[in-house]
Amino acid sequence: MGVIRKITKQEKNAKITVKHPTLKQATHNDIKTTIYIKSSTPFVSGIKRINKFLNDLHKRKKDPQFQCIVLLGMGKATEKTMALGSYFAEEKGKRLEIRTKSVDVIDEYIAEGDDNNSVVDDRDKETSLKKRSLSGIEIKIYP
Amino acid sequence: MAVQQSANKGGKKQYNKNQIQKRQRIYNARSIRAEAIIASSSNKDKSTNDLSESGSMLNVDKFINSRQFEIKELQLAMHRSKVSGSTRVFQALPRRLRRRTASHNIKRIPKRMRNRALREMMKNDQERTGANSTKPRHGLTSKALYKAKMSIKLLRLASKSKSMKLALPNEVSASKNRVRQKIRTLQRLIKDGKRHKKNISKLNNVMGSYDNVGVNTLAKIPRGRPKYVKRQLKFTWLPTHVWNAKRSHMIKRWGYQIPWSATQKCFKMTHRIGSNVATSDGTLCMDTSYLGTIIINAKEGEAEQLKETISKLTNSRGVNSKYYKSKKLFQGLIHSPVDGNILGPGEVIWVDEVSVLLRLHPTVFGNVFSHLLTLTNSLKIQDARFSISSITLTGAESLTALTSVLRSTSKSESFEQLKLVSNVTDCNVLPQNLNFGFTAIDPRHFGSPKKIKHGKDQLNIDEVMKLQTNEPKTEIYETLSKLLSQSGRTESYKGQLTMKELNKRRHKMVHADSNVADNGIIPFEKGKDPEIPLYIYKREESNDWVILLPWFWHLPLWYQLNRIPRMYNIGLRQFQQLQYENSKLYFPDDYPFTEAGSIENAVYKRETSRSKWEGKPSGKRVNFSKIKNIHNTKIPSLKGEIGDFFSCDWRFLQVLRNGVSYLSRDGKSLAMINPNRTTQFDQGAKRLIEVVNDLFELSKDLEVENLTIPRSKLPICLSTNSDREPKLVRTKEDICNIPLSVLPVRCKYVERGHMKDNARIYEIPKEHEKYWKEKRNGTFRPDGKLFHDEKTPLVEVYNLIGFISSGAYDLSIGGSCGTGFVDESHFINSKDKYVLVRNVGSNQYRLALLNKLII
Repeated sequence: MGVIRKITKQEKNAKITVKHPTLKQATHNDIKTTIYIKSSTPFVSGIKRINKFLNDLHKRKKDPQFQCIVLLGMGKATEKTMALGSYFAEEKGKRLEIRTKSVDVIDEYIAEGDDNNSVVDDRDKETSLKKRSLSGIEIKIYP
Repeated sequence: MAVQQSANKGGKKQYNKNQIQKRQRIYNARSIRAEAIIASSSNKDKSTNDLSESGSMLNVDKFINSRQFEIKELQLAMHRSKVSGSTRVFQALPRRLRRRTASHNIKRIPKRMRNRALREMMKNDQERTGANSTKPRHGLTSKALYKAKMSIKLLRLASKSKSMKLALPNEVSASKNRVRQKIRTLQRLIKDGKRHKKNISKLNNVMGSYDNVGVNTLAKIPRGRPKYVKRQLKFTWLPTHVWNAKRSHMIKRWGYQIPWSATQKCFKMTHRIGSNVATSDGTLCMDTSYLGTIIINAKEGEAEQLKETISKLTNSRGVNSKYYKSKKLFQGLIHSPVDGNILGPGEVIWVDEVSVLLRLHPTVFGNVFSHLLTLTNSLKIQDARFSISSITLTGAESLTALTSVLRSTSKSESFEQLKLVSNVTDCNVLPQNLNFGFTAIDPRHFGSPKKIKHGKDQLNIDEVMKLQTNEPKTEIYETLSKLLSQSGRTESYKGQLTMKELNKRRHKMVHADSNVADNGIIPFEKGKDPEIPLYIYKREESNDWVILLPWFWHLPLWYQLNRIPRMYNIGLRQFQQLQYENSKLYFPDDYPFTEAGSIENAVYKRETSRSKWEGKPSGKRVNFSKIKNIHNTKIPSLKGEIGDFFSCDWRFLQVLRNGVSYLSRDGKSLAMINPNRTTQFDQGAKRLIEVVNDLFELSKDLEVENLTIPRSKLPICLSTNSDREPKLVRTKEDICNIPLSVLPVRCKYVERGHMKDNARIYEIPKEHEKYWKEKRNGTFRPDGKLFHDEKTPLVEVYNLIGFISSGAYDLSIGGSCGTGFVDESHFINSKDKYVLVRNVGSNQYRLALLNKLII
């Protein structure tokens, strides 16, 4: 099942019931140095949060991996992530490291053959999973 | 004395030598050096003379260096004064780890600090509490001594009979019997046990574990140890009661004693760990054994009957192929099998076609169970309230925590799956309704929790997708049927060891072998050691994991789980908070359309806040009846706040909404008052309903109990998709007879303000729409800030459409939010998603965004 199948037209039109988030396997130190930017994150709140994380960096392990703040944003939030990064580069003179990324997410579709019964609620229908790739950006801000 | 006199006279206080030294130390620590002079003197080139009394230009680098030096000095001084203030080592501990007894018992201090703590105690000549400090013996009268000895004797005999694997007879656990009677019974039991008499029922372990299940009847309430029998007469203890009673505030509700909230403040912590946030780095755990479990097995050829029963209970949702064939967890509303009313939330897990597991709230349990008892000729009903217990875990590390205290007894595919995803910190990425089932070894085999080590390479998303397709169904099925059968649970207790025996084994293991295998885990011996059937499933609705396990295995797992760092215990209050932050309803507080919820709202919460309000002196409490400028038009029958002040007054809303649709039937216009006459009565001395004012008189009448006005049992009902046709209010009697159909909603303030419980929701009148539209986009002051304090146009009282059942500040969105219910007809009539919300006892209206909730 690991092979990616070709998407049929029927599957393309299938109804998504659940959009799952990205896979996260963060350690304690990761959590305290990583910020996920949403498209709804206010810009100034983002700045305040990054500043707070930068101030707390000295508490982290003395591993070079954890001596910077990682901003992650994908899809619609990519632009906002870049804007936050460039604020810290231009206004605060921080060193940045920018990387583009490709992120996989899972969608749950209503399984074939189960979408005819319109009486049943969508959440009571059986679902099948499908992978979707998104592009995102990772910005490391060094103190 | 002389010192005091001088102090009274207002002279300077005299310090002793010690105090002077201390003051000097603080003074030194706080002094901050500045560089200005040094900077100029270090500059050898006098001719530039860049720092003079009159002030002159500076070089950029010198200026920056000087400021840098000052900042460093300031930081140093802050650090110094912080260090100089601290006196005892345990003050350095974080708040969560501080113990009051740490000042005289060094065992309360972490090991690395103990030496310093000892030195500090020696310095102060402090008395120490040791391990074997004995309490002084008090003189007892002979009668009191006899009494004390008897109760000790009873406990000794009970523990002896337990270690002889004898089942505790009913006479001992019954509370009415006298101590001497109990002792006599136990002595006889032990005597018979020694002679191996045949009629004696023996357990299969020395821990006293047995399967307490009621087949086609209610299970007996477990009394636990004879010592604690009398404390559980009315309210049963959960397996972790003693543990939780030390660490949480408990409440007595629904026949159980349930942890309400942890003793330490944990509001923000609960949000940070349990809510759906990426910063979560721990686990919250709760003993949810108070949720009643029912196992239903269909007798041969009666599978259809079972399907029908479940269909009736879940309003035909629970038998869809997703749940019935694919065996996914069903979470939804449970309907009364008798009249179809909604009882509350529940869970249904299909094991196979002929057996099913129900998990119900205690308020719902009795109703459903008594109905099921009428079906015993075709179904076998097991009351497993006290034979299957559950633990609920939330937070990013819940799976990591589980895998660090659980190991499967043999090679298990389901456990491999659990291990695979145990590093995932965001459970939402996993497919819906994921479940695991395997037999585990006794968690006490671990010396301490051991994390499972993962390889360097990260988990692939394809592997996560495989979880759903490669589900080890047979293995999960086997474990689940073991867990749900009486013999399976009894089998799991076979050879359950005491702590003493386990420690003996660990001791032997450590000494036999210098390089201890398995990280200090006592090796599992197949056939000899017990195997615990475990079922773990993910709940989408509340975003948590539930572990089902046999009742007497609860405590061993619980103890081990709570040794994991960053594992915190929570109670019902925190569960309510998490449901609120998840935009989900919490039973029973947010279920006013059920009987339990309406009692919670209209009786318990209302009476507590009313008595709290009445306890205050009249000058220091809100005078609800004298609040001005709430509504546009003043009505003679209403003064101040509307409805009940201390609850969501659903009856009031029903009368008002139904009454308004009655008054405006056939396109009649709505009149507030009849200026010519007061309220009128018909021939039967019943009130005529002609204007809005009459509705409030009617709702006042309803409060007077001896008036026989026909009324529906519950004022509101949940609107369902099945009957789209809203019931029309045609006659006067219908006003209180037809329950108002409501929809659950989530309100979020657009601007500032703080929503509270019982807040009133109003629709925006047509004539004010333009004003509020402008407000939504923001009205600003000349200084660029939002303008909040302008006077808003007032609504009419009949614009009331609903109540907020739980409103607070939501940390996950950084604003005020509330869950509530509004009249369904509002959604039909108005496309606008904005409403006005007003707190009880205030006349301030705030704009809020309305979202429908699906339950």
